[in-house]
Amino acid sequence: MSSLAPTAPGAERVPGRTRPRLHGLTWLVWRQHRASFRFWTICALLLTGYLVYLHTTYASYLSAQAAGFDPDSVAPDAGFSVAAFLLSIAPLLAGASFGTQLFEREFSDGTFALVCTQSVSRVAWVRTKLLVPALMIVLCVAPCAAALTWDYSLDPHRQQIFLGREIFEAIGPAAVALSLVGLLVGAAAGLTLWRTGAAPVLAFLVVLAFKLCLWALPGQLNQEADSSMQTLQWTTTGICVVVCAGLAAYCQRLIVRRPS
Amino acid sequence: MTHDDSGIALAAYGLGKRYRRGPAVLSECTFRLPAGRICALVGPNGAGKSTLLALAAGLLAPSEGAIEVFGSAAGDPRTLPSIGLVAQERALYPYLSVEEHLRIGRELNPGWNERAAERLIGGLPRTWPAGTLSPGQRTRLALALALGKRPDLLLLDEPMADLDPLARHEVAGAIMADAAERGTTVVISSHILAELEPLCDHLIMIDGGRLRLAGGTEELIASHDLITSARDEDEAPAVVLEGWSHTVVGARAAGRTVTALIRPGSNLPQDWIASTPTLEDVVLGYMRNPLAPPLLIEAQSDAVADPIRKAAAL
Repeated sequence: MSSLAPTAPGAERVPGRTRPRLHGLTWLVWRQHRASFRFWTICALLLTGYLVYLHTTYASYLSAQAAGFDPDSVAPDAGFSVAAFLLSIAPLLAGASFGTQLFEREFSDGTFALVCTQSVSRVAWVRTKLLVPALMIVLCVAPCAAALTWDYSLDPHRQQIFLGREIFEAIGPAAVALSLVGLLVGAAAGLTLWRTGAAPVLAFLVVLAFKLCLWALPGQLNQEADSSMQTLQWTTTGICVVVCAGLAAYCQRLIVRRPS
Repeated sequence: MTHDDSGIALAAYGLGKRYRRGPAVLSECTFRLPAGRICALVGPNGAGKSTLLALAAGLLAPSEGAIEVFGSAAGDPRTLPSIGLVAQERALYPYLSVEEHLRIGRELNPGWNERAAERLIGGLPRTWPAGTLSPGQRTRLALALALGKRPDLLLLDEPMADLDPLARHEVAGAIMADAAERGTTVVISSHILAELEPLCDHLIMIDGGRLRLAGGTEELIASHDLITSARDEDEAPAVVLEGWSHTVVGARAAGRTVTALIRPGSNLPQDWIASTPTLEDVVLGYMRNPLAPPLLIEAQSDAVADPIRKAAAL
């Protein structure tokens, strides 16, 4: 190709400038919680990769069963149970370890005063402080939940064996929504109890209690799971979204009114 | 932000602050600080200086009264670009480097000026986390963040406390150069008046949460006389001054001499010699006597100070 070939405006790439750069509050929040973001990303990549591997293994097992090879072999379900358990505790981890850090250190280190005297409003700060980690949680949990759902739907027989809340909370949109609730409960707990250091414990207990409360939802999982599953998934997601909105409003109110 | 045209940078009206379940930290403070002034905020430890600065920066909300920055309520998001604060705690992210702190300044302030920040950063290692810096280096970084923002009102809480004499001189020079260049209003708090006296042309003194003195330094000095006279050794200073029409701020006896700081009301008796007090004499006089009536001289908003003169005096 001739070096004189016309180039589209802006198409020229400058070496070293190809990485997208974050700016403003988004950069600050990302930089502050970079270690947590990296931890969650690595965990999500490993878990998603593991679930894809499990899917392949289980598909091979089903093919072998269909072809009549080794009919007495046991289904390789152990890995599936472990993955489902890990995803079901993601909201607890998001709350106790990640969410509580969002505001707690800002107050204990006094850096709240530093941010609040820059040329950005408290509202913009608290929103970015919640939205960036929330986006990160969605990006990390959604692929895992999608992979688990994909794995789960492989075998109708399996759906009858693993019919319980642990699975329900680890698949579909409910898994993502519950993790977001965990994050926001943690943020609100850190904001309220930053002086005491009790925020992680409170966040853990509140998220656990919230999950238990969801068990009382009408439309219990039963043998007609196929029909009720989707309804219950979206009902749970809707409840979680409302709770998240309430918690975000609480955090914003506290930050805007809070003396440093 | 749009400044009002009153020429007043900072104004408090019946300002009070009380923390939950605690006594009042500030009460009934009313003053006006004209734009362009370099104001010393003095008072003993625990007088309420840091609380006043936090109220001005909008970090705290008043319990009573109001505080305004360029005509808008302090804390109004529109005032944020106009205010630079160096808090006493030098709040910095311990795990972020010096360079990353400067990036915070660049990213969060549209009017950021790298050159103004550089003046204060000097030779600080850019890659060092703020948590590893010495108190003096932290102060420099905090000042760089505040000055790089190009604020119209700079609030400095004990900025010289952690600095060595050379660094004090450099920092004071940088602050005054900025004030000279841009007409910045500066409020510097300290409990050591001597380090502020050469810089300031306005003074606010708080003691026990109440405003004791406010006004231009020249006007405050001109409102007082330091008088000296002989006395009988067994006579208490208060007895010597009894029945005067002058307001006696304070009196001290040393040997056969009694010295008093007064606000002159009429001619002095013949056996008294009057001299002009220093600003420190005035402040110390009010600190020693909590019962002395406060003196609040209404600031003239059109009498904008000449910071260039102050910068040249350094």
